[in-house]
Amino acid sequence: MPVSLKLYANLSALTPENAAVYPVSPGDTVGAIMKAIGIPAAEAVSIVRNGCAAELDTPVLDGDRIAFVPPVGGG
Amino acid sequence: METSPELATALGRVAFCETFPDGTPGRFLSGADAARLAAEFGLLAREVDMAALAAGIVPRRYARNFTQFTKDEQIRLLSSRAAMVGLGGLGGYVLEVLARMGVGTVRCADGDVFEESNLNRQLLSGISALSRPKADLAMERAMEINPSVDVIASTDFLDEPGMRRLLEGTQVTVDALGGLADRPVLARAAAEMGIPLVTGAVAGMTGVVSVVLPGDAGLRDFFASKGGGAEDSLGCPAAGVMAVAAIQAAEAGHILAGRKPALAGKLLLMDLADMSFETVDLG
Repeated sequence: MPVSLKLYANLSALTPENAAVYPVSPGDTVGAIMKAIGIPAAEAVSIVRNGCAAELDTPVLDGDRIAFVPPVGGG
Repeated sequence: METSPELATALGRVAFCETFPDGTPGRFLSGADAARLAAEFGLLAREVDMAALAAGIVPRRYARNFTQFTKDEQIRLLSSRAAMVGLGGLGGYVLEVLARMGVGTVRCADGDVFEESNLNRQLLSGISALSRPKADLAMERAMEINPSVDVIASTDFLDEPGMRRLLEGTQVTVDALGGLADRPVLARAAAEMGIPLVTGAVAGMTGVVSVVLPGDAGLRDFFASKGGGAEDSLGCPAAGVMAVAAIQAAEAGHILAGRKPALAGKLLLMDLADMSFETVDLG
């Protein structure tokens, strides 16, 4: 079952080729995806799942849109 | 404000008939006549604008804003006060819009002077502005755009007490800071003073905008970092800065006009690299 991924700002360099249809397995969490695509665990990253804030242990479901946002402060 | 019979008569004498862009007839006031009446009656330019609007006469400079703001809302804007911290990339563009919109008073602060690295994005910067205080350029620009807008710009870097003084008596706070360090301080001051906060930030082609109304939960961890933000490695190109600032200014306008801002309790995420936009519910 696939989800779609969107990585913002400097994380975009880690966007997998199959981000639009990224395969996940039942029971996978947002944290597992982050680890799989190589977002460093120490990085302060905000997670958005289907337009709502999510946590590392938030489970993912078929069709979810998951976004990863690093701290952004420029002006 | 009560309009004196003498001013009402004078406004009626100089008002002229023209049509709005959609063909609707209206009565208008030129900027030159508004300035002359302000001098004659010892009034501020915006007081003449407000008296004209109350009499159904539209200062011509706002003629193309009248699908966005009604006459009553324009009067409200002219009598409103906004605070803004930062007059660099975001602040320069936000100020531009607020001045053209006719926000009566904008109290702002930036302790910086312009340098060459600002020229890629900061509206108020230019070759002749290098080494000059951003606050000075802000006041000059606003005066050039709209004499009805009073921009009071401080050349100080504000600490928390300074921010609180700046925010006192304002109806909206615009966070136009650069970097992450001072943003939580400003957010706390606005929250504790019960003033809506319009915040925005940029890194590369990614931008974020959010509105925090008094009593709202706040921005979660979107601006929380022990180190720097992604802008340290990506920089801040102009397009992202302009886009974020335009949205901040629109939301500030909604608030000052007395409407609920669309991004209250939400965070707009955008990436101009692939033109993706999404809204996050912060509730």
